[in-house]
Order: sequence, then structure tokens, then C-alpha cells
Amino acid sequence: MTTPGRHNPRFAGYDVLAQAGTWDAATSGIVLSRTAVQPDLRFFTLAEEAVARPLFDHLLAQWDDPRVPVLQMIDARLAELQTDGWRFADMPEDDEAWRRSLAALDDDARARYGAPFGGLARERQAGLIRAVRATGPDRWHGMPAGHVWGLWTRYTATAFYSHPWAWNEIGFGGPAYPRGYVRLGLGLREPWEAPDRHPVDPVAKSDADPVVGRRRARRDGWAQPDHWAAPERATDRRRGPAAAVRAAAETLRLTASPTSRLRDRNASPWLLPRGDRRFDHALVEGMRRHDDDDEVDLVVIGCGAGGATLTQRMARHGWSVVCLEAGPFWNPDTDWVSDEAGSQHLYWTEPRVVSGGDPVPLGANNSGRGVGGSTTHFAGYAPRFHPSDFSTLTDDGVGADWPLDYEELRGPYERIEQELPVAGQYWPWGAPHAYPHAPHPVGGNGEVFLRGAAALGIEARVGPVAIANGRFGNRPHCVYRGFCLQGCKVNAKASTLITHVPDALAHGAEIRAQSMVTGIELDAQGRLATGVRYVRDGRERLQRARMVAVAGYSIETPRLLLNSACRRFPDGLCNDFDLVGRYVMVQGAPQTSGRFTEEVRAYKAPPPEVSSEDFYETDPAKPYKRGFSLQTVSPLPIVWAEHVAAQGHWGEDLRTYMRDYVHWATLGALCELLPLPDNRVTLSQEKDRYGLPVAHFSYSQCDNDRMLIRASRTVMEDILRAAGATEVITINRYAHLVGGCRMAAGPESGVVDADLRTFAVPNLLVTDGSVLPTQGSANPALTIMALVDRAAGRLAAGARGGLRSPAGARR
Amino acid sequence: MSRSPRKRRGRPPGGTAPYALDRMVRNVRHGRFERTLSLLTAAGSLVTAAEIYLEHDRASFGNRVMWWPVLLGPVGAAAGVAGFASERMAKTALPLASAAIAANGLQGTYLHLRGIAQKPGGWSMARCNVELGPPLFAPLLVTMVGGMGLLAALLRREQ
Repeated sequence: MTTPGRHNPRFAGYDVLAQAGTWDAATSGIVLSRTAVQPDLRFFTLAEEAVARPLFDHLLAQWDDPRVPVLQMIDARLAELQTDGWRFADMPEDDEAWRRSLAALDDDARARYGAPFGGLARERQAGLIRAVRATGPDRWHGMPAGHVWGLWTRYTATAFYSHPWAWNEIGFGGPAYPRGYVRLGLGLREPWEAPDRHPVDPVAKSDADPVVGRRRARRDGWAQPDHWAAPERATDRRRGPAAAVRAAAETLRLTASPTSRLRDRNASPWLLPRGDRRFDHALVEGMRRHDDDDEVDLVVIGCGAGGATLTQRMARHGWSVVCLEAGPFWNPDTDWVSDEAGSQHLYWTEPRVVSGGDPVPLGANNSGRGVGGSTTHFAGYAPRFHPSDFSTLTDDGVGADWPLDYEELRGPYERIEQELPVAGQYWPWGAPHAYPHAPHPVGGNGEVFLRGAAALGIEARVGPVAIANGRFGNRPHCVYRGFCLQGCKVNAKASTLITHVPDALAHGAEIRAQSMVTGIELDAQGRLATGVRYVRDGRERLQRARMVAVAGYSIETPRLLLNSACRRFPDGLCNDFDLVGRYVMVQGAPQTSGRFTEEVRAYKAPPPEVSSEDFYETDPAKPYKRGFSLQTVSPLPIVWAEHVAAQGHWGEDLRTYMRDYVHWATLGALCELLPLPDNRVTLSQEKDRYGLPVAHFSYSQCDNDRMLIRASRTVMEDILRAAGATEVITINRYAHLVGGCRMAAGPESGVVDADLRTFAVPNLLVTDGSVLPTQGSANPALTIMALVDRAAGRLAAGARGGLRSPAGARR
Repeated sequence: MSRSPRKRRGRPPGGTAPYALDRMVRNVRHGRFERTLSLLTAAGSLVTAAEIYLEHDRASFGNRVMWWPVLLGPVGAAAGVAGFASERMAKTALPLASAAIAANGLQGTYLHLRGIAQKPGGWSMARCNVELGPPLFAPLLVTMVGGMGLLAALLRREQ
């Protein structure tokens, strides 16, 4: 029942640690270690400690013992270099930034009061901290103060809200594996969860207090605005008995069709163990292993959504395939935990630099590492693109046209949806279609969305999410534990680790983990690829191959091509027309949270649940082109703390908002930001540990982008208000990454063709999200896999024969 | 209730009971309610099959075996109605279909048990997994319907 400072009026008697018996061993180990005696400081010097300790107390308003050992936790992270990897171009690396900012704060104290920061009275310390925050985007001791503030709040909030004592204070359920949640929905609690004893909005209550954030919601004075009067709707197709019959018939076709056909195509779900283990390690032990000198049919670089799909498909076609993956071969039982802070290793945390007018933070929601790539921790939303996405330039005059149309992806979409499998209601938007699994039961956050959308006449549906709702082969049903973004320990949520890798291994593919590819080798004339250079166990090796597919995602794929410059391609492989690394896109993903009197407990049920695509298409009545989609996102405590901190809250404000956690529901938008040539990946001066230049990603929005983000934010705030929110807050953020090696009709406008082959090197493919010319308002994973499915079919249909001898004549 | 005097099929109404209710009571007392129970089996099959369809659809027919009880519903209904209409059917088709239904219920019980065991945590978290997992006792209700049909086949026919 311990809480920080031992005061907890709201969830009195609640003790998340009493549930430790229902946690798995890996999770218990990592969570319980936080309550144990912490190691001595290894990173901070004595002088830095004297500044950091009071600074952390201020940032988290921790004035009484017992304290969450934030200082030791941050120290351990920095000592072990458990950083996010990326940095802003105008900031040093995180460890250096910490040293410099602490010294700078001490300098401020000495300059203003003639005494070290640690020796000042609490009010004076608070004044100095407030001054840093007030500096905003301006420079402070050579660093942008806003970035310093972000660094401080990010590290402190992560440490504090990863501690079980803090969970006791906010009523969070904590780890939830193997035990999941049974009682989903507004106001429902498991028998062991404690009710909020003071469910009054702490912010609305203290109305006179001007310190706490912008309060925008006014339920009484709220009048229905007019901006959803015009969302484009194909009402005729979507309503009425004919539509209902079609939906029922299509759903029946999917649920009644025998699974043998699926199994003949991809037996992965049947190759997983039935018991309490999540991966059959006999598959790895019995994996075919090739020598570096074996000239394999195909080497795939990266084992994520695209790479693993291609590996499986080509192995099924009898090709000898080696897939090189920089990260580890995950064992979900021991490597993954039901815990936010303990899942940092799922992200790509190698150094990267971001810059531009709207720099994009990298990490949690746009990178992956290890076998499965980012699908191990993606939310699982798997919507299709709309037919209109394939010709935005022709139809709307923005973006780019794809060299293929929707019809060519219809088959691949259906196949991948069955293999994941995708669960959801009949989908009325875009090209209407059914899903193989039924929609999941809706938790509190989803109920709020459905209620608000219904009040405004916006159509919202449950799904589509790549989470098994029911048995799927040997994969069990979801247990609604809410940790989808930390790696699914249940095997219910799809990741290519379980949807494609088992079948690939069973058909003779080799997946070589811990192998970082450093370059692609061409023959002497620079016409055909002959293999790839990679580093494993500290040694550089060369894997020979007749065909190479790059699937490193939008940052690493361009980086690898640029780093593979040679005599024939002095500016980077396939970069004859200066297109490699250009047109990188992120989706504008503002998130709006609303405060409800009922307990929402958004941490139960899958975070991806309810979705609407009413605003997806270009609306002629609007000043902007293209649109956005809306989805539930259910932040766990650390992400929620970042939400609150991004509003500028810190100290007591932050804690007050956080204690209210169970009352907040959160929606997210995905806005189709346009592809712009100057949003690009280039090589930085900085080198990584392999001695290769790291990627520099510059990103700036255009006016259309800003209008879209604003519009989506307004709609989300209105939905939450219509559902009864007493307060709404919005943060701007980004999600997903696509583009960088886009596909096009010809080499002057793109790097690869519709079959994902590079124009410049005929036996080199790019098979990941970087080939997307535009991004729609849909989560990209399904489309990446569908494109690869299609390309694999084309490849298998005869291309191998044509490229047998890299050393010989072409074709 | 089940029968009207009109449906007497030529046989003399046993003894001296002019009212349907009296006849029914006497039939029951003498173990003669084959037709009634056949019809009840038919109705029970349909109702359970409909409920199972909804429940199994909610679980996406993840194992295609989940279609069996849905398909056996109409079979049981047909056999029940046939047993109601013809004594021969009541002694042939009805027990066959009923036995299949009863066996399917037992199979379902096994599969639901296995499903619970294979949920994360298995039987060590029995309460959570029984509540969240496939309904443990529901398939036995199917067996009861099958049992009803078997019993009907063993009974004497109404007079």
C-alpha cells in the first residue's frame, strides 16, 4: 500500500504489489527490482547529484519519504546508455545534455543568488526551474530550453511512473500477464481494483486556480459546431438492408471458409507451441544455416513487416533465403515484459539526428528492433488504404500517384488479413470489406468514442485490429491486458515473429539475428548486386546472394543505400536521380484526452479498438486536401505522463493530473501529411559504433499538413465533449514513417517500380514502408505486407531464372 | 400444450379420457410422451444452435470445429420433427441425430476445457480463465438436448 510520500486519499488501500503473484517471472523481476535497494550512483558526479536531486524533487513534487528513487533510476539509465538513441540536431547526446543542463542550472543559481542550486531555498529553486520552462524555444546556455525541458520531464516522468508506488497512487492495474482483465468498460473494475474514492475532477474543482492548464471544455455552453456536417459519406452503400446482407454474407464467407487453404499458404499459427511457451525454439535450433560463401537465392535485410513477409513467401516458393536482422531473435517469454519502462529494448535506439522545422522524435512509435521489427510493439491497427490513396496527384493535385491501383492489392490485402488475423466489424469505408475475426469487446475508452461519435452523427466502428479474437491455430484468444505496445506475451496480437517467421523457418529460410548490415556489394561493373556486408560478433562478413531485398524501414533503408555508394553510384546506391531518402513521411498524430466522471481505466482492453474513417477523403468544402482517421489510443501511465507534461504541467500539477489517470479517455488521429522532397534522410557527420555515418532526418510540415492536424484536433475535442468530457487536452505528435525510396512509374520519379525492384539495380529490391509514395490516413503495416505479398508473387512467377549469374551478362 | 384431440391419427383415444389434458397426464404416467419430447428436442436443438452461433461467431469460429454444433442444430430439429411425425423416424433418425448431438456436447466440453487450460496461466488462474475463457459448462447443455432426443426414442408413443 506504499505510495510516494505515503499520502493517497484517492485509492486508499489499493496495492498493486499484492497482485505480484499473478505476474510472470520476467515482469516480476523487473518491476520488483524497482522497489529494492538501488545501486550507487555511477553516472552523476557529486556536484551533479547536488543539482539533480532537488531538481527531480521539484519536477515531481516529491517532498516526503518514501520517495521513488528517481535519481538512481535515471542514473542507471544514463550509466548503461539506455537512451532513446536519437537526438535533436541542436542538442548533444542525452548523457551529455544532462551534464550540461545540470551545470547550467547550477550556474544560474550562482549567478542570481551567489550560491549553488542545492543550497537554495525551495522557492528560489522553483523560481529558477520555472525560468527555464518559460524560456521556451529560445536558447538557454547554448541549448534550446524547450528541448532541455523535454529531456528533464521525459526522464523524470518515465522513472517515476514506472514505479509500483506511483501506480498505487494513480490506481493503475500494473502488469497484466498471464492474468488479463475480465471486466471491461466504463465504471467496471476487477474485484481486486480499488474504486476512486474522490472522483471529483481535481482541476475543474479548483476553478479559480490559474496555474493548471488550459481548460477548454464547457459542457453546458457547448453547441454543436458545423464541421462534421460535411464529412464525405457513401451513405447509400453503407446503409439499408442490401448493405447489411452483403456485410453478413461476406463475413460468413470468411468465417466459414476452411482453414486448410490458409494453412497451405502459411502454417505459422500451427507451428507455435500450444502450452505456456510462445515460440517453438526447436524451429530456431533446427533452422537451416548457410555459409557466407553460399550464394543464396535471396538475402533479406531486416526482419520486420516487409522483410519477414518476403522471407516467408520466398521460402515457401523454394528459394534459399537468408534474412539478416540487426537485433536479437526474441523469446517473448523471457525477453518481453508486461511493463512500459522495461520495453525500451524493443525500439531502435542506435544514434540518429533529427532536425527541421518540425523535427520528428524517433523511437517508440516509429522504429523496431529484433525479429518481428516494429510489428512486435505496433498497436495492431490494420486498416486498408482507400482506393483514392493510389491517385492523389490526379484526383486532388497533391502527393503522388502510385504505379499500381487498389485492385492489384485487393487480393494481397485479403490474404494478409487472414494471416494476421484482423478482427473488426464490417468496414464501410474505402472499398467495403469484411474481416476474418469478429470485433473485440470494447473497453471504457472505446465506449467513450462510440458514445461521442454517435452523439455527433459520426460513424465509428470496432476494429480493424490484428489481434486474434478467438483461437487461431495454436495462438490463443486475447486476454485484454492492454500491453499491446510492449510486445504481446499472449501471442494474440500479430507480429511477423509469430505470423510469418515460424513458417519461413519451417520451409528452410535462415533468420540470422544480431547481424547488422553495413553495405550492399555490387559486381565490378556496378550492374548487379552480389551480396551484402554485415557485422556479426564484431566481425565483418560478406553474405553472397543472387538477389538482395532491403527492408530496414524509412530511415535505415535510405541510410544503407547512401552508405553503399560505389564507383557506379557515387551519391549512394540507386541514387542517380537524387531520390533516395527523399519524400519521407510521418503521419500527424495529435492525441486528445478527455476527463470523464466515470472511471474509464483505459489500460484495459487493447489500446487499438474503435476507429472512424469518416474524414479520410478530400472534402471539397475544406481548404485542405486529403484527410485523417480517428482511433482510440489508450496511453499507459508513462505515455500519459508525457501527455500531461507536454501541456506544460510539472510538479504538483503533474501529480494532480496523474492521480486522475483512471478518468481519462484518449483519442488519436492519423493525418495524411503530404510527401515533400525536402523531408529527407541524409548522412550525418556523426558515426555509429560500426564507423558508419548515422542518419540525419529533417522534417518540416507544409500548410496543408498544419490545417489537417488542426481540423483533426477540433473533431476529437468535439467528440470527447459530446461524450461528456469535462476537460480536454491535446498534444501534437507523430506516428509511423513511410517513404524514402518511393515507388513510381519510372526512374526519374522513384527508386523502385511497382514490383519493388530498384530501377538502377535489377536484382535489388526494397521491400518495406519506404516504398510508399503517399501514406493515406491508415496505419501502414498491412499495406507494407500486402505490397510485399504482391511483389513476392511476381518474383516467384519467374524472375529468379532471369538473374542466375551476377557475374555474367545481364538477362 | 402439445396435442389437440384432432391429432389422434385414427387410434381410439385410450379408455375414457375425453379431454386432451387428461389424456396427456395419462400418457405421461404410462411413459407415453415420445412425440412431445421429440418436438421439444427439435426446439431445443434450434435454440441452442442459434445461441452457439452467436457465441462462436464472437470467437470468430477460430477453430472450424466450432461450426459443428451450429450445423447439428438443424439436423436435430429435422430429426425431432420427423420423430414427432413418424414412429419409425422416432426410433431411427432421432436417436442417431441425438447421439451425435450428445457426443458433440461432450467433445465441446473437452475442447472448452482445453481452451481454458491453454489460456495464459491455465488452471493456475482458474477463476480468471474460466470466466474469460470458453464457457465451461455450456457444451453440456448441448449434451442434455441430445439426451432428451435419446430419451424420446426410448419412450412409448402417445395414444
